[in-house]
Amino acid sequence: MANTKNTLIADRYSEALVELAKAGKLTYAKIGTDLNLVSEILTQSKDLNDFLVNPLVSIDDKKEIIDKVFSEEIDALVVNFLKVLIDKSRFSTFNEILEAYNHSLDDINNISRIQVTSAVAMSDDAKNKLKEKLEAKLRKNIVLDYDINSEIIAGLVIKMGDNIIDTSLKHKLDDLSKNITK
Amino acid sequence: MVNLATISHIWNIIVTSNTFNFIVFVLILAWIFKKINIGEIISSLQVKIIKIIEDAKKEKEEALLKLSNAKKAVENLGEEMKVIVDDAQKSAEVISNKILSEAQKQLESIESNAIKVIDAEEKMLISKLTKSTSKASVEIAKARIEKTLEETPTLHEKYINESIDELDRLIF
Repeated sequence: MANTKNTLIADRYSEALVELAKAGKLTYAKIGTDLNLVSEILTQSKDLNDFLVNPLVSIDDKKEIIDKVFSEEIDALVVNFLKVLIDKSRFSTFNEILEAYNHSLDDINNISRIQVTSAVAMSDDAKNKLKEKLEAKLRKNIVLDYDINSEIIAGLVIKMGDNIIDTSLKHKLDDLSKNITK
Repeated sequence: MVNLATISHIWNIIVTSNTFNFIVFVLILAWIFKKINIGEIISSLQVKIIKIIEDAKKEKEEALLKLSNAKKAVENLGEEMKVIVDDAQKSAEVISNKILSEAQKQLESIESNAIKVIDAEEKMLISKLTKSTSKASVEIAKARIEKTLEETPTLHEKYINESIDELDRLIF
């Protein structure tokens, strides 16, 4: 329930960022790059993250830290956006906002991110072939995220959002086992 | 004058004589008969005796009648016995058939239940065996596939390509 609520909140802030780009004040890419940089810094510095989400720390102190840490690294509009999150006590949803923005960005750029799991590393030929095939099928720009898991034995497991295409030998053997025992 | 001793002597002779005693006895009996009205008793006894005799005659007649009936009954006894025996045989046959039929039904029911139990056991065993066999078969197949893939790494490429080709058959 709390996650759903956070997702809804994150979607709204993400839309605000998209509107910022639509208004031509910043490019989609610049906003994305700046948000990813902030995320990276927050991941690396747990103390900074804890400081910014700590309700006992004053809003002014938080804003001051944001200025000092980020003003030279990211655009002033993105810095202001971070301050808005501090004002609204929503800084804890930053990662969800980033995720929602990336989704929005993908939608705008007609990009579909697909996770591909194989038992061994895929060859470049296979990767290209898979990308071309998925792009032709989905009529989208495909960004593939590769993962290796020997437990699937052989073949591929392709995850597209909530849909999974499992052509692995493990899946086929599991199916075989189920069919025999029916 | 007759003196007292003589009188006493005469009295003794009279009293001790049998004739005198007999007369006294007869007189006493006559007095008793008169007192208890022996004639009436005798006539009453006569009536009773007559009645007893008549009752005895009746009983005799009844006994004779019963005897006659008994003779008649005995005369038909053979046939009656035959009928009773026949009926008994028929009843025995019916009961016997019924018992046999019920026993047969029970036997069939037991047999049927036994077959069902055996079938169920058989199916369960087959299922267990199939499961364990299939599990073992799949494990063996998995091990062989993994070994083959290890010996021939190029097969991975083949399976990956097959997986990519499978996308053609899927509807998105």
